[in-house]
Amino acid sequence: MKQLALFLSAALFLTMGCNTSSKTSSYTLSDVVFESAGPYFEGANTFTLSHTIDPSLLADSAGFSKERIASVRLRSAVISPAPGQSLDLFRSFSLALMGNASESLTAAVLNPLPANTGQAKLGVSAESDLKAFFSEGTFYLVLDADLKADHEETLTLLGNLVFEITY
Amino acid sequence: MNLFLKSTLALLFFTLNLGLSAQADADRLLGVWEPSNGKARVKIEKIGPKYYGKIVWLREPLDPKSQQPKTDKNNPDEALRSVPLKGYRLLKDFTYSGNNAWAEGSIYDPENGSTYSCTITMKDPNTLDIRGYIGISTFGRTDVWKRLQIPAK
Repeated sequence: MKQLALFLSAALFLTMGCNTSSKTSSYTLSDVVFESAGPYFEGANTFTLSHTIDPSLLADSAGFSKERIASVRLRSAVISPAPGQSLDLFRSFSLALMGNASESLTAAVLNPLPANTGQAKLGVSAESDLKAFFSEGTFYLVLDADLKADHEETLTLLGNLVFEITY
Repeated sequence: MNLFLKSTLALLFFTLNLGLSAQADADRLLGVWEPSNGKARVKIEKIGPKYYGKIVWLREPLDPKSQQPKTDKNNPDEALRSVPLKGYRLLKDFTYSGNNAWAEGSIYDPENGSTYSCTITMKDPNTLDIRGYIGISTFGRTDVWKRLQIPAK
C-alpha cells in the first residue's frame, strides 16, 4: 500500500512537471496574391508567393520570445479567384511551403475541386509543423493549381491563410 | 580613366561574369526528364534558390481500381493522400554544389510513401544520375534519367 502511494505520488509529480502551460496565437494572411505568368498548360501549374515575417515581433506580440515558439500549424487555407476570373478552370489545389534553409512541406490540399464554387477551402495537414519557415523569416508559399485545359491569359489567385502558433 | 578605376571595373565585370556563369551552370538542371522505367516525366523547376521536380506526365495516370486519376495514396500523412500524383513534387530542395552535382535534396517514392536523401549528378547535358539513399550515399540506388527534347510544360 505504501509502495502504491509512493508510485501514485511520483506519477502525479511527473505529470504536473511535464504539464507546462502553452498558449496559442494566430497569424493571418488576407487576400495575398499568388503570382504566375501565362500561358498555362493543362496539368499542375505553379503559383508562388514570397512572404517575410519577423518571428521576434510575432512572438513578442503574444508575450513570448521567439525561442518559445513550439510549433506552427496551418489552420485554414482558402483560395479564391481574382475578380472577373473563375475557379472552374481548375481541378485541384495543393499548397506547400518552401524555404532557403528549410525542407519543403506540403500543408494543404483540395482534390477534387467542387464544381461551380467561388472559393476553395483546402484540407489542412495536422502533421506538418511549419515552425522552421517562421523561424527563417522569409519563405515561399507555393500553390500547385491543376488546370483542366491549356489557358493563355495570366491568372491570379488570392489566398486567405490562418496559421496557429503554439508557445 | 586612371588605373585604379580601370582595375576596379575589370574586377567588378569579372565577379559579375563569374556569378552569372555559376548561375547558368546550375540552371542546366532545368527541363523535363524521364526516369529509366519510363513510367513518368518530371519537370525540374527553380523556386527561390532551390530546384524541385514535379511529375508532369504519367504512363498510367488512372488508378486501376477506381479508374480515377492517381493520388498520393501512400503518404504517411492521411490528410495529404488526395494530393494528385500528376503535379506531385517528388524531387525537393536541391542546391547546386558545383562539379555538375546538386545535393541536399530528397526524392519521394510514391509507390511506397518513402522519402530518401538524394544527390543528382549530370553525366552529360542530357543524362542525370539520380542517387537515392538512406543515411550515407554508399548504401543507395542510382537511376539514370534522360532529358526529353519536348517543350517545357
